[in-house]
Amino acid sequence: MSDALIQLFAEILQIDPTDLNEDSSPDNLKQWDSLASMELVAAIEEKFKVKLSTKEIMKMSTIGRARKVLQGKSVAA
Amino acid sequence: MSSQTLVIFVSVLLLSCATRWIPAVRTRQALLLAGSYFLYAHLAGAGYLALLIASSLMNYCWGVLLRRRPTASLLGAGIASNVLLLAFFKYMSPLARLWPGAFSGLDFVHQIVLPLGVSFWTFQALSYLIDTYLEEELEPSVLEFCLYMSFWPTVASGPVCRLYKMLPRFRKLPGSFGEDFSIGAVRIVQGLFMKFVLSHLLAAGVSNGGVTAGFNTEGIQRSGFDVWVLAIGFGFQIFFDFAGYSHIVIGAARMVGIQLEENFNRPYLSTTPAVFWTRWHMSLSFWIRDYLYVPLTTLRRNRWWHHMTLVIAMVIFGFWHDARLTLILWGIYHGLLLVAHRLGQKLSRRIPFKLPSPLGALFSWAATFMLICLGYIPFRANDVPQALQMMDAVITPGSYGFAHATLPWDFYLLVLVMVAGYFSYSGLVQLLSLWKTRRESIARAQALDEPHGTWAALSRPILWSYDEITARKWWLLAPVLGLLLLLVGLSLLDNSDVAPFIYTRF
Repeated sequence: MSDALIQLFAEILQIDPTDLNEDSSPDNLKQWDSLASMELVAAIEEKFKVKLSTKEIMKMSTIGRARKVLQGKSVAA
Repeated sequence: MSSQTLVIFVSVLLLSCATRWIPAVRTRQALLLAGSYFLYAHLAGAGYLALLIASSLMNYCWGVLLRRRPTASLLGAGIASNVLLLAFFKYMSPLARLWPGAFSGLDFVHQIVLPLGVSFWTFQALSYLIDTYLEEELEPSVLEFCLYMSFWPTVASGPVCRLYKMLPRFRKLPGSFGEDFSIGAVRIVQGLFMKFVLSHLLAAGVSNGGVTAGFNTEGIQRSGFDVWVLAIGFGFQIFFDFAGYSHIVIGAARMVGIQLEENFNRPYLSTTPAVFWTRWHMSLSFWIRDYLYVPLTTLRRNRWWHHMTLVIAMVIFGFWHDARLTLILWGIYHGLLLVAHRLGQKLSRRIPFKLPSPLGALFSWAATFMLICLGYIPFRANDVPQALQMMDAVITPGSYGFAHATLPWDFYLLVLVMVAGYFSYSGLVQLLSLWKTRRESIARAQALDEPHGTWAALSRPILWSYDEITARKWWLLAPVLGLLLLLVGLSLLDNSDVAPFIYTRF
């Protein structure tokens, strides 16, 4: 899932996947703005076939944390 | 601010600096807390200090409960207790003025005074509760949590801090004193200059015809040019006021050995309204994004709702400033601006035509700057009719013309000089920074420490000067400069003409 998640973020944020890491967040990526946040949620839900709660979405403040949330929902890592 | 307050402020600053050499972390934290409470009691009174302590203890208990059982109902109760406390002090008095009948017999409501910094420390408490609910690993001691809530540099008007960032800073020993002291002193000097020279000059004007008089003069028909220059003038006044305040706070904290987050990042160079809100009052903007906007957007998964949440979040932001219709209008304006930008972004992806990069960036910057300044009209206007009259002047072509101007010519000149000075300085710093990045990338591509060629040779002395400035070597002079400015500050602060910091009202 690690590649798939990074790829997904890169695709939505229109950024090179090599510029992304587990600590990438709205604070250090200008492309990750409020519009992108919601597009990311929709894309993650569609790609990994999960439904994210408000609490889970709020927890996804970095790519690493998004991965943790998905792992917590037993999405194959 | 009286000389006595300034003396107490400087004493607390120096004593807090002295705690840097205390190796026992808990003792250091206790002394910082004592200094914070002492200063708060002096500024706000013992009664409001008791309120701050009560709020700190209440939120600490909520935190303990949430760590044991992170449920939505418990979080809801914690949030409600804070919001009720804030609403009582912030909105009861304005509501009583608006509907006197509903508050008849409750005369005490009119006597309510806003406790110093109540919004800011309540926001900090809320972020702690929400982060704990989100199962962040936060386990502050009572002492650490009380210090987080009342840390004296930030208690009055922020920056709004997050506990997960502050805890490690409270727990580790400060670094180099020389560096911290120099950097801190320069930040304080910068802040004093921005507030007491630049912001004050714009507010008062050269011949008593500044922003304050421009907005407060009644019964006149302002020209379109008048309104623009007032809006831009106020935009720079509030920027120098609040960014100046932030410099002072960040500088003071740095002297104590605590590095705070930046609150401003050249906001008027933003090229979109969305970017503006990542550069203006950053600590509160990010707070609103993380704890208000994001949870709101998750309630429904359609585009219409996502647009609505932008407007709702900005209206709440406006209402937080004060319970005034003009600030709600300001919130609606900024919410709609963000929605328009979002729709524009989507549209531009479908249009094959694009302006050449520098021209497009220049156009985006100019449009953003003008639109942000236009938003200051409802923000600063004394009432809705005044805001509407000023907006009407902006959109009526016949209102333009210097024959209709009501402001003194020296105010026009002052705003022009401020704008030109600010953008020349900020533009130059930005340009040099880009130049440096480009030079480094060329060097990397050539696998050299320094790139070769005439262009590289020519740019070397300029970038050397830039490095010298950004490396802050001249900051070694800061303590002397700081002392001089402190004396200037002492004389200025007794001058009742200098308005208090704008954001201490909120």
